[in-house]
Amino acid sequence: MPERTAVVVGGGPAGCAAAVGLAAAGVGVTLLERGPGLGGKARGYACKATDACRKCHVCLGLEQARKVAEDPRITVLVNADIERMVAAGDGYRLTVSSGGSAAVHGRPGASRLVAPAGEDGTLRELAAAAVIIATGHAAFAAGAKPALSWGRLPGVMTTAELELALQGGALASAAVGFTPRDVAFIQCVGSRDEEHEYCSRACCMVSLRLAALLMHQSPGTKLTIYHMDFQRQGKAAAAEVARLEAAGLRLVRAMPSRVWAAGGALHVRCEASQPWDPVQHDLVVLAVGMGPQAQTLPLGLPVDDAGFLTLGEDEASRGLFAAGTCAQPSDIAEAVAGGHEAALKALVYLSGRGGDVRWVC
Amino acid sequence: MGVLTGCSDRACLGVDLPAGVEPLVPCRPEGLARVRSLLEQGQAVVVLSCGRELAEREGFPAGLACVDVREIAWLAPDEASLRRRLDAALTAAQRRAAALGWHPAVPRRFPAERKVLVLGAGVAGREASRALAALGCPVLLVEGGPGPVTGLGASVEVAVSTTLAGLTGHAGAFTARLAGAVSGEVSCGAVIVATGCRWELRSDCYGGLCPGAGIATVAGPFAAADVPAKVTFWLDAAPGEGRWCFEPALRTAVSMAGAGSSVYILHREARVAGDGLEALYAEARRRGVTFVKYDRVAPAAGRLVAVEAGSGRELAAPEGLIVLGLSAAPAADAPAIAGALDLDTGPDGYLQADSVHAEPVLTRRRGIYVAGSCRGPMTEAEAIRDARAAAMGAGALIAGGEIGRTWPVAVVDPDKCALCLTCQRACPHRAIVVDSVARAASAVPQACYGCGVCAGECPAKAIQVEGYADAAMLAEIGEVGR
Repeated sequence: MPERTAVVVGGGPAGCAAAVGLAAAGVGVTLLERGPGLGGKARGYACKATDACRKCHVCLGLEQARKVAEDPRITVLVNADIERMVAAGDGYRLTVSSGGSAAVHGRPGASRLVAPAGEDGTLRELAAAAVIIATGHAAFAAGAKPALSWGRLPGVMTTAELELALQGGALASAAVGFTPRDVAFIQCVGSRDEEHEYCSRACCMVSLRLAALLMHQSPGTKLTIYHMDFQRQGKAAAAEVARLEAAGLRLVRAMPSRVWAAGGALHVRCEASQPWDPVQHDLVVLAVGMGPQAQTLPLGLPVDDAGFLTLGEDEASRGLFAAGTCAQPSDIAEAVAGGHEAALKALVYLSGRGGDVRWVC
Repeated sequence: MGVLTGCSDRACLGVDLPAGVEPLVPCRPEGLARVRSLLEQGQAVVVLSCGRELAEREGFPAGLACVDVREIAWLAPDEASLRRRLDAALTAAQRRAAALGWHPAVPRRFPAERKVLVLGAGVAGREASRALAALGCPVLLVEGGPGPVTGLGASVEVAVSTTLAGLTGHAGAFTARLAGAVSGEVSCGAVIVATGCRWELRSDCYGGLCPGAGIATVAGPFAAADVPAKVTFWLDAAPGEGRWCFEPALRTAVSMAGAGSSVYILHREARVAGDGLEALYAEARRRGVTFVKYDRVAPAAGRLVAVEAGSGRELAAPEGLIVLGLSAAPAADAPAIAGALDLDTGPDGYLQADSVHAEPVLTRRRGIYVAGSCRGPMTEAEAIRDARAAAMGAGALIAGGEIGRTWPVAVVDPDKCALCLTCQRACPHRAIVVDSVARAASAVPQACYGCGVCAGECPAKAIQVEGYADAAMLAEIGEVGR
């Protein structure tokens, strides 16, 4: 078992932050990524700056991926799926299958692969003293709430879809095919309900920033955020809410139960004690919550009721750690901090096993 | 337009080389020798490889531009944009290489002091000290209060009743001036600020109520035997309340309700955006805690009632033991700390104003980190994560006894410098110092983030950024720039 080696599973903001920290401390790091590139879901998000930075931290997440890409000490396997992970000796042995276009990135000599000669598609064996799981989350599939009409009405989209469409400074009008004049955001789609007894934490501020961006792109756009409890995250959040409310944003405490189209408009009806008349909008954005990543389940790690990883002291004492949204929903900045925290724990674990920390700057 | 070369190791690069690129492996001796001989022939060379730092690493002279294909391949959202980005980067690099006539030699590493100065012995400061000690860094923990601060191990030195009076130097070689019980100068390689925030009861927002008989705050303390028949938590009446206030209220409410109290929580929003808080909120409801959402409060017949906006309906009046929310506010010494460290405070008064791209705990000055509630109120669990992230950052920066630098950095040409100090005023990272021997400004590589603001501002054009000299940038922009 190589003394000072670690495998990071997942190349999103948390996994990349962890890998960079470990590499700086002289640990041989292999990063496994299931998809073809790094950056995780942040790669599909948009910078939400208006006339000023709105601190959405998408660039911070991608910055971690950029650091991995630039760091020759980190070996990266993309298109890599973990078939098996077993405790072996005082470390872990991972069997990785790679898809057709698998690639091993790394300078000669930097590779820590146990069986690096595998052809594309064959299994590779890796051994590491410590493992950091950073497999991220799965966005709630909005189609599971058919009453909200996602996938059936063209004017209903998820926050993730809107983010992707707004990448690179694209205008909302180009993204959705018309200039939205009256936009509704519906919060907690797949969070804080009977099946999901948790708050996804990031979505209120995501919707707020998207609303700010739409308002900035097209002043006069009517904006409504339907919510249960608006989660003001970050120290500037209260001021930002006040600024947007002054500019016309409506925060409505009600949960829409139905969205349908009639007469060229989208109608939204809320469930509430008092009778609500349906409200008309032309674009409805569903703030989909974060759910556990199903791909992590075959590893047989402990999870909570919702399915998020619950790696604690016991696993830490065996060199196994979790970082980012595979353990709990969070925003990008928190995921990055979680990656650094996991790297620190792994380092302390590795030095406790006799290996000195050999920092390389 | 220069010779195009690229790494032929497809696995390493991740994509096929574009047509017309001479294949070589730039990280093998024969590849490097080929690049060197082309440069010696006076050719401009573009290298497509898996890292942009080839020029820096190998100390190549002028005329070499690198394209980091790995970065393009991994960060492009799809194949079409990958090709587009690669073509654009190639064109730009060709123009840049042809125009690069200046390449300074800045060392890659500098010696660094391994000691870390931690300010504040609260939850975050203690955790940061513990983590740094575990990473093998000596720590000086400075606490303004009288302490005692114990249980942190032998490699954490503690100075209580002491404050930071000033800080000079740069990452890897700071000199801190201390005042108070321990005074004098201390060398340190990095600084972690964890001075926390202030919690206050805004009585003015709570109808003049003050802690006393029958009135407490969410901070408690509540004795285990303290089981009032009726208790009302009244939250959200003042600005500066959040989940750091809702969480302790929920915990106390759950335990009191479990012990038989009838518990009411008057609030505006359920602040559940924290680890396990939604489950705790649900648990409180299962235990019979009554949550009342109000929009405003109004005095009514000598008492205060929560009122629903719009309808004007009276919802509830606090009864029994009244527990009030606490507002978070920046610590009184935040401006002094910011001044001593030459950091910003935001409009809200907390340390760490907006710094685009700066990581949450990394400030605009290299080597200085902020952790915990001094940069904005947070729960204890969040403060601990913050402290560990800051310790990891500081450790990675200096724990090896050496400090690296970012690439690129700014370099001042002393012959052109008129010592007008425009750069020093413009530098957001405090990387510019005056070199009294050369009688010129100088950019400290350990402190420089390579943002290029100084190069843009310098009226004498005395500052260039490595690999991005003015001539190269103009060439890269091409026709558009003219």
